[in-house]
Amino acid sequence: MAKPNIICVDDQRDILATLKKELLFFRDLIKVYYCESAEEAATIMDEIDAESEHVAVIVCDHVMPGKSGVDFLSEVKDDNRFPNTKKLLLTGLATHEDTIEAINKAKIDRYIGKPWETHDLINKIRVLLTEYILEEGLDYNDYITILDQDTLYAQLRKTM
Amino acid sequence: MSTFVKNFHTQFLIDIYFSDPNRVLKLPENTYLFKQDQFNDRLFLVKEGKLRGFGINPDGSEVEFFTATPYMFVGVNSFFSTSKTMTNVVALEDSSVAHIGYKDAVYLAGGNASLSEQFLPVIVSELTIRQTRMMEIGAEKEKTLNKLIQSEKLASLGQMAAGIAHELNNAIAVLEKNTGWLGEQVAKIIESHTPDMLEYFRKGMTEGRSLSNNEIRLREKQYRKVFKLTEYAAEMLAQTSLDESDLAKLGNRIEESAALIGTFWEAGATIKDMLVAAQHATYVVKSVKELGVQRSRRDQKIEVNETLKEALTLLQSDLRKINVDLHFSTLPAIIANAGELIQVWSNLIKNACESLVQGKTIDPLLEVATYMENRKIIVRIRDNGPGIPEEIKHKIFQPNVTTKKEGLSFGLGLGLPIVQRILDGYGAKIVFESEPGNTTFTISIPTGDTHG
Repeated sequence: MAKPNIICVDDQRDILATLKKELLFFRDLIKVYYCESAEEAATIMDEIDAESEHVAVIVCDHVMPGKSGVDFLSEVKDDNRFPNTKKLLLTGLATHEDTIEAINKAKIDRYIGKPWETHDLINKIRVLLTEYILEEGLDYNDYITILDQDTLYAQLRKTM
Repeated sequence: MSTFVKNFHTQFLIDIYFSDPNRVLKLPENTYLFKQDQFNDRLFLVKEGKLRGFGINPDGSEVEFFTATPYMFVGVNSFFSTSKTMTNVVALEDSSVAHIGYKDAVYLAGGNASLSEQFLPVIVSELTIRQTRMMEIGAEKEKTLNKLIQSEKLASLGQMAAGIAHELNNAIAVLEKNTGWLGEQVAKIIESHTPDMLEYFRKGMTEGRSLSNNEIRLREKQYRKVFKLTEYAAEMLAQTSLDESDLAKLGNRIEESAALIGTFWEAGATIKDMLVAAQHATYVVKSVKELGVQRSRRDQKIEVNETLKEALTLLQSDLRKINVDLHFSTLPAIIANAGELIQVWSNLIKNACESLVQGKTIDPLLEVATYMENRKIIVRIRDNGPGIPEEIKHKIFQPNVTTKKEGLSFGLGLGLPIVQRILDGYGAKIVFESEPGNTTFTISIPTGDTHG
């Protein structure tokens, strides 16, 4: 079944637990996975892909032991299984160079600094999710309550 | 300035112009040949002894220009350029110099060449030496200036850190104390309204998030199968630290109470997260403050072995599950600051402990040895943990490099930079070797013996 999923990656469990509470907004319609490393996220993405489901949005920290967020998102960008997957970098520490690299190399779609505003994070994820669903041609009616209405209408007006 | 050109041509000039015993000046020690800012109408050649040439800066400080020994020319620049002298030349010991002036000049040396022309190689050589010396002085100045800027940067960083630390510590104290207070109040309220749930709240607050997110996913699948739960109920229960036997006690109420149990557990775990985060913040502030502090007073006679024992005592709780081998030799006392040395040792020992624990090393072993080598005190700290990851080996002494990620032993990546900074202050060296099963840090501290 063509279900979209969201993946959150952060090496700190307390941050993931905080995200889990905030992203309850999506829980009735979208499965959100929480991973403690880029490697773990990659495994989950393999599983999702094997089930023919979608990785719609990745919310990822940058500074992590092992693979960094930017490196991980760059790999996702180059992975032809996930051409439209939206990438959001959520990080407390990124130098100017990291940010430039994230935009140029990983082609991230959004950037949020820590600490973040809950509604800002949720709104950005909603916009990205809406874009993904439209780009992939999934039936948006199934998810209409959690999608970003402006993004949706702008797209609908274009296609009318 | 003095010029020393030992070649055939110079030898020829010396023979012609500087061999007249009537034109030799005796200079007793400490007498001046000439001083700065005068006109000089003579060219000198040192015959015996040693002369010192130096400039005096507008602020009164002296700049060393040269030391002239036999067969070196002095006064080349002022004589040929006819400009004022730039140096003071004084005899460092009883010396004698031969001299000529334009009036004495005898044009014996071939054809119509003037005195300046005959001395051209000497003049060029003189100018080259001046140029080189000026560049050297420039480089020295820049080095001193950089050092100064660096130490001022550190000083202002220290002041800034102290200011920020004070403000942050107040904020953290409010957050930490009140979170603890709230936790207790919430527990009381739960006890009087939904006493069944107190157990889960307390469990969350004491045990915290001991399961990884991967383990939670596996549990979720397991619970759905074992207890025939809905996805939602399984998810709520899987994130708690309750295991299958805890859940079995709930009998057939498990599905209906899952959401409530999960929420109460989560509330407890959240309060624990907040307390741990406050402690982390306190630790970060302390480390940053330490990085910025000025060097401490080093005026105590210190036994290095004693500071090691002290550090080991401080880390007793970390060392409980680790075998510790000590090999202390008799060492000379050094002048140092005990606090600084204890800080160095405890940083290194703590790193070793954490590597042993994180690497789940079987038969964890920490070895601390001291001995003398080439009049230096050597301290060796070795562990049999998994070793330093290859990719960070080259940068472990830089700030921001850490391997620690879990629980209370968060790494800020400031431990080793602090160690390095302190050891630098003692002229001590630190080197390491690391492979799985053997990580050794070796510190060599010069004793008073080695520098005087």
